[in-house]
Amino acid sequence: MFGKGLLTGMGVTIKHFFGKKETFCYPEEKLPMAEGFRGGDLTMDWRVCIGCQMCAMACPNKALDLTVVTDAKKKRHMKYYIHKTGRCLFCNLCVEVCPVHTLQWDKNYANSTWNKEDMVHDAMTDKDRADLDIFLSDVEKKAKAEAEAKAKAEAEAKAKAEAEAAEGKPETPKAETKAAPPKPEAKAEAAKKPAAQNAAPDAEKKAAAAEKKKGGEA
Amino acid sequence: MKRTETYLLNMGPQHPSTHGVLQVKLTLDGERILKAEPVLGYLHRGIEKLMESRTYFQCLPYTDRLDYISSMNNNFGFAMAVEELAGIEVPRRAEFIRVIMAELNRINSHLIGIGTLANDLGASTGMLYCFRDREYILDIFNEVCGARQTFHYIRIGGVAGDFTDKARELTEAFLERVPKFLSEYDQLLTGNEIFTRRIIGISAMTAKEALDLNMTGPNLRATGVARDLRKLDGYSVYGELDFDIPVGEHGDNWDRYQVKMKEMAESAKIIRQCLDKMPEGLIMAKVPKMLKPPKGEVYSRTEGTRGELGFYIVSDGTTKPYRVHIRRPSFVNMQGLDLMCRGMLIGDSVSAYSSIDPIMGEVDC
Ligand code: SF4
Ligand code: SF4
Repeated sequence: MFGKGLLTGMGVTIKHFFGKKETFCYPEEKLPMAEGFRGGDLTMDWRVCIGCQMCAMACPNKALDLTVVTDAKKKRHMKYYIHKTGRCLFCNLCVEVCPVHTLQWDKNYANSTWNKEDMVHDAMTDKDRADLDIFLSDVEKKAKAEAEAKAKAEAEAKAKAEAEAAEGKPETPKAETKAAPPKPEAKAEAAKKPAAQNAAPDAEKKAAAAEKKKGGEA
Repeated sequence: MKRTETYLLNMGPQHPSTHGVLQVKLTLDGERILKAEPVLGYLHRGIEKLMESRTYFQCLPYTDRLDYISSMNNNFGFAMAVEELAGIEVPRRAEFIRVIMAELNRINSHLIGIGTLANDLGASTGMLYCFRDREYILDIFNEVCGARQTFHYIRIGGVAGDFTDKARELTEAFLERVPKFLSEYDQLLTGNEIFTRRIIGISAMTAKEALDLNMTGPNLRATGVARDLRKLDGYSVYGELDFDIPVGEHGDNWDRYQVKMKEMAESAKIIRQCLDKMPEGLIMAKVPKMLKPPKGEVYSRTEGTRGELGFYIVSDGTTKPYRVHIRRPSFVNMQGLDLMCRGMLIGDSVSAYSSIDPIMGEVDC
């Protein structure tokens, strides 16, 4: 009989009409995401990050733009961690490669934007950067103090040793004190340099690379 | 003086039934189609070229974007090709996980294929039912790899994460659903007179025609040729599994639909066996961080959801492939569109297109 199939089909839908609901009210209710859900923005903690930039190197699509600074003790720290969500493949390669496991997804999947330009996210907040600055100057001060103390201790030790060795010869300590002071100064300067300058050339280099890349892809 | 002449109708690139961006130039004689000419390239991203400037590991996420409905199968194909090139042995547990994922993805893809066919013929209810059941598969994928699309789960040398107990639970629950929803579709669609009249005997194709056009997958099997690389090559662990290859008879839309329906049941059978046979052990082989396959080339083929998915990779001994070519089944199957549409009505071009079930991401690559 023509139409029998149609009626059977309608039976199925009617059964479902009164059955268990398969849907839920999305913006009000949200499904929990799986533990390893890849989505949203990247988050990281600059206190843990060692600034190795492995994540940026693992990225297939150059979606990560990092600016790393070096502190007075030659340790690298993240300053800007720009995640270009528009370029991201959400492939998880960056997260997997991080040696200290500080890189994580924030799982906020509803991150669509009105503009293409807004599709960037900085994992470092301004607060983080302020903290970083304080930290950097602390390290610098510490390094300077340490260097000075070290130089002073060295000079003293040397002067003492020489004074002991050449007792009775009053001219030599004079020459020693002249030679010692330049040391801490040079060290402090060397320490200041990378902290202040390293950021600039790094960023410049990267920007240039990004430009080149863009040109190549276009 | 009155005269008749053929005229050209552009279908797409924004037509809703093209599931992507495809333009079909239809040459019409009244309502009858004389010629259907697909115009490709609206979704071209140059993936083959992009791969040349990326390491083998970085290439993998791009394969997700070929046929974005069946990313697992694409990952599988590419990973297998690189493993063959670099001589990497994959742990047995990983092989079983891979097969489970590939088959789940096959069901997922066929559900979409059937759902969109129903939708294009006006049975939108059918589509919603298919998408409902697909959701259960996506939950499994979400559990194992944290993504519901573009999985990037099957990696070179194994898989990214273990098949957890929760994933097994979800899979078992899904397998229980399979016969239920298949019979539901039978009630909803297979017996529906309007649906069947739109597809029985429409856009028929002989086995010779399909072979001449190099078609593979369910499209070829619908014409009666039992060619399935899973059986033929027995790659991965498919050789140890027991399953049938459903074939059609006339190669019409109805047969293509039926082959897909039956394949879903077969895939469920394969998954069941894999769950039972899966051993404990490693899920990832030892793969060097800087993978430099020796100089040479490889062509590795797998049975993707839409046919023979082949990766041809030339290595020059560096960390990046020198050249990658992808044999995309959707692209090749598209050649059949013209033949299927000839002599049919305009409305049938939609069902022909849907029953070929191409994914534009793979057609354009
Ligand atoms: S998820 Fe992939 S594409 Fe996105 S930032 Fe990480 S490595 Fe890059
Ligand atoms: S890989 Fe991890 S530690 Fe290294 S720079 Fe990236 S976030 Fe920092």
